[in-house]
Amino acid sequence: MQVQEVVSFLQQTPPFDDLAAHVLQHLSQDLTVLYLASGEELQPEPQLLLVRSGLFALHTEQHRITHLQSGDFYGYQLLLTGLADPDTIRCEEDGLVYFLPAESFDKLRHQYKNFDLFFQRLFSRRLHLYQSSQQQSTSTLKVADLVTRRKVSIDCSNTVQQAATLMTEQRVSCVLIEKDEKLVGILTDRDLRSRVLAKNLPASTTVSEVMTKTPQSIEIDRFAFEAIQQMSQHNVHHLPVEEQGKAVGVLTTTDLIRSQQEHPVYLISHIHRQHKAEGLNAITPHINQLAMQLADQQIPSYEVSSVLTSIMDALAQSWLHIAEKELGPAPCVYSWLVFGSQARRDMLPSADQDNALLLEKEPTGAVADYFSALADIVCNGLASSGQALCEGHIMASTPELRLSLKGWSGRFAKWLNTPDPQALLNSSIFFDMRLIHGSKGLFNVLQEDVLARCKNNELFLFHLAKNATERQPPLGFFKHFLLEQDGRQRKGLDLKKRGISLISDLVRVYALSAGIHAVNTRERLAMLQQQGVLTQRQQQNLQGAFDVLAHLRWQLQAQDIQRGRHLSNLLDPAQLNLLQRHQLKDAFAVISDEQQILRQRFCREL
Amino acid sequence: MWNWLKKPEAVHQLVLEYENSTPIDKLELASKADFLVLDFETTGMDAKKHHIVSAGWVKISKSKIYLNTAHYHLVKSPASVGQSAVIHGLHNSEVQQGIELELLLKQLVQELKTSVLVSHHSALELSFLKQSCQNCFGRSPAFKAVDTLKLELYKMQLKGGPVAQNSLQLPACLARYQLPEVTEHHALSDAFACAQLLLAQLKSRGAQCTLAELFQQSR
Repeated sequence: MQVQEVVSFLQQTPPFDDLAAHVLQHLSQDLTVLYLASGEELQPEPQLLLVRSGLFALHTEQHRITHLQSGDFYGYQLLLTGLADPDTIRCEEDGLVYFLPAESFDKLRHQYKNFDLFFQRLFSRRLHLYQSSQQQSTSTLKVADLVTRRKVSIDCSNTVQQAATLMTEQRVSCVLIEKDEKLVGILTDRDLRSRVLAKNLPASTTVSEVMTKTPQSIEIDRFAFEAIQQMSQHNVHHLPVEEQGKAVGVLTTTDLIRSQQEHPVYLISHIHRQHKAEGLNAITPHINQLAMQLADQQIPSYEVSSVLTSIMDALAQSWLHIAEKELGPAPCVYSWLVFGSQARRDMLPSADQDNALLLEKEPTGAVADYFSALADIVCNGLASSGQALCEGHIMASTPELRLSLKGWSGRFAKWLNTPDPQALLNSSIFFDMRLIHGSKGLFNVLQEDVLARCKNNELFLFHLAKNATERQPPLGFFKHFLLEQDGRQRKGLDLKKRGISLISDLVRVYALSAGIHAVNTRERLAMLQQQGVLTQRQQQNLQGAFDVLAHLRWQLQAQDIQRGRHLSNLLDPAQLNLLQRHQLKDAFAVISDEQQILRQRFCREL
Repeated sequence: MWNWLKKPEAVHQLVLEYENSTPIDKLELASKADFLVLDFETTGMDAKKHHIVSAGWVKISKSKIYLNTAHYHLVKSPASVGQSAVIHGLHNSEVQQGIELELLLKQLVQELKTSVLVSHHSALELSFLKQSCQNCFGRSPAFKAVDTLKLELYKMQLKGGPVAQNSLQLPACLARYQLPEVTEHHALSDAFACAQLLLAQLKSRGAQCTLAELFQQSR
């Protein structure tokens, strides 16, 4: 006969919650129950231990690893591998534990695949896999999903007549122009009409004379809405699609309309259509509404961040247009840079501004005045559109952040050569940078310069790694846990400070040491694995931990938006379900392990 | 030695076997002993007038509750469950599907040869058990029980101060040890809760506590 109280508990405890009631009724009778008093230690037995109540600590010889509480398991390593757990379990608060004998455990693993997977994953800390499968959503369509992989191209030495013939044969409205198999231009129906026929040019004119040179193009793995963003920004209807530097096809506005893209697209093109400040001021409710829709659609958090980042990028671009219209053309070439989470493309609605200006000329006299005015318009404009001003004044409106290439290069060199605490704090912000408007060439020079300085700079990497591992994840927080305040009377676990940032920080050290251009954490991890800097397992673990934390934070902020509250990174642990607690705990364990590895790699004696 | 009995042949074989079996060693350590934790739901408080409607029990061995020993039976009652249905939620029709009282007693008497009986407020279980055996078997063995309520009272009196009303009821005791609460009046749920309470009480008495001490404190 089953005891209902035990069955009810199992029904709420993953992975048992997936099993049918009659299975649990049967299973519950295999359990034994033990009461432990504080201070008692348990010897490992080939049984699965499930904590029913109380608080327990896992210890190695030196230190406490983690806490176990209601719903947590122990002993599965011995059961899965036959290897004794390297740790012991000690009771810290009186409580009850259930034991499931090895035979019952093995039987369940054989009968129920998910049950087996749960413990395999618990064991291997492969966190992200036990998230419920994510739904495909229309707003996360990729360029690859829309483009037809059919490249229609001719060499640039051909005539416009040959191009026209090809286009007619292939029934396409544009042709890609290549030179030595590299994309050099694009020619459309409209170009043939307006640049050839209307100008009365002969049919023997070479395509290179009339084509659009170095056209806008997009990588095949970008989101569809980014393609729309690019098209609306540059007012083009054809976008060559590239894969690893080679053209593979063309994306047209028709393709996009056919895809019936939803909100992000419309919002971004709406932003690009605004030529007056008033239109952009009123954008915040739209962004929040979009965020809510994304939340409803159960979109993975990194894609939400990507959508939001694109919107913020579009906002900055639109404000720059408005500023240029108001102030007249810029006196020199410039690049508008963003740093931090916007650069990494992992923004959430709560993110504030981190931006700066990179100038072709030294900011003196009229040049200085122009960009000072430009920065004020854009920064204040962004603030009025809902992207809060940076409390640390990391904004282009600060004179120290409007520098020439030489100025920036010197600034980075100083941080790299004298890594004092302020320099290290700066590096966590400034070393993640991305261009969102202006000269790509100028930006590339700066980025190459910085990466070249970082690579093999052992002293700097030593300090950066040390700094990245100074803050630790709250391994033992679950019961007596560290509550932080956000100045608004809310308390909780800071998911950003104690989780997400820690991962970004340690991934940055590796990326800078390996001269990787990417700034997005996922992309950095992928590159690091490709280059053999990280093992596949490390990459997966870090990726998984990052996703779990980012997802929790996103859920948190989606709730805040829904309730009209101030957006916060503080998580109230009481709101977590058991599965989330498992995931969170595993994520923290991954961070802790990886911090140790990072220290070993970079912080040895120099 | 039985010659003073008027009707020795009326005493059930089981009772005789019980009386002839090796008694449980009272000096055994409580942490190593076997217990049977029992709860009855009854039609009232008076064993002479009322009846057992259900019984639940679970066994403890060497300080571990074994859930495969959990038993629960409805018991056929010669009378209506009457007003008691309000408490235990069992109605006549259900109770009539239960097992015969005699069958229940046979199981219990057999088990209690090797396990120490435990109940919360054991006076009730003891009186119903003895009365029922008397009725069915002609005589009842001299059962003894460990009473988790009395164990709790003993501890509270040691500490001194007044014992608040209700503070000895099962839910209050469970709460004191932060044990899972019981939500319903169900004989097996109550027995299981009581078993967990006993485990906690044994811990607080240390590893050297003997059965004799438990019996002493249960008086």
